[in-house]
Amino acid sequence: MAELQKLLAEKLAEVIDETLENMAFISTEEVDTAQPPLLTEDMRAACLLTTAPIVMEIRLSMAEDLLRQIVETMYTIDAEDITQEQIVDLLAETLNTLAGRLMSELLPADQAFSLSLPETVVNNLNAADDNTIFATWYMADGLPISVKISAATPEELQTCLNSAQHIH
Amino acid sequence: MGKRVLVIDDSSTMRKIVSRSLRQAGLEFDEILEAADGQEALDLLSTEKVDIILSDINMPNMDGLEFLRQKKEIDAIKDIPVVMITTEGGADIIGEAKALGAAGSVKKPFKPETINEVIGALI
Repeated sequence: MAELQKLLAEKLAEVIDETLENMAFISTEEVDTAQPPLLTEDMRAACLLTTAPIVMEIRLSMAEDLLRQIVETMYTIDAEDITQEQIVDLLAETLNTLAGRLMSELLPADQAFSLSLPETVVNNLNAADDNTIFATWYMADGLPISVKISAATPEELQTCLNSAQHIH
Repeated sequence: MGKRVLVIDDSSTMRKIVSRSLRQAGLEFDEILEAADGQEALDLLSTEKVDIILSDINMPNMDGLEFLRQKKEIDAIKDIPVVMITTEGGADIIGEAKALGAAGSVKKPFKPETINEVIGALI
């Protein structure tokens, strides 16, 4: 499990930085998971399922101010003109891209995978979840981002990664 | 008439990113048209002419593969090149798209240079 978490930490850090850099020209910094950020921001959350070859839930939470900042730049609009639909769409598309890149990094090159459509969810960063196999924090422009990965059967993921020769 | 491109994606964010990337890549399109799914794209293509299409695969209503399937049956639009922009993995889904007539594919997230490389060769 420690090896799995180390691999997820490494791959996730790469793909979240690449995703936000390419989508929004924003760099991310990893946060020491032993010292998660003190949340003073409103957070928005979305989740999706990887449905094949393994079932996992990936949940992305981002500070609403960060999402607003990206929307403002992307759509070239004033802050007061930003709509909830734009914020939700940005969060969902960021998660979709992030999940796709993560699966591409974790699985063998020719391994097909599929993702469900992202759904917005109530933010429950502090809720206990027995199925969580990995959770981490990043900061972007001083604002927090959280990624949580859950799987009812983490051994399936381990088997997949073994076959991709990430873990021995 | 100048060149026109159609971007098909259910995400308005991704449509913005694709439009921005096309401009940053130095590809000169006079107009960038948008559709939120395959059906909306087919409706639009019944009245509008475009030179190239960039399409997501995973979309509600009509996905990118079904769009390719229906497009290749319509004489007026069957020869317009389509580049798939996708998060989906594996050679099989890209292979299926190519078998249905897709001219190329780009994986999200992408850099303008990648868009330039793939699209530039087709227009």
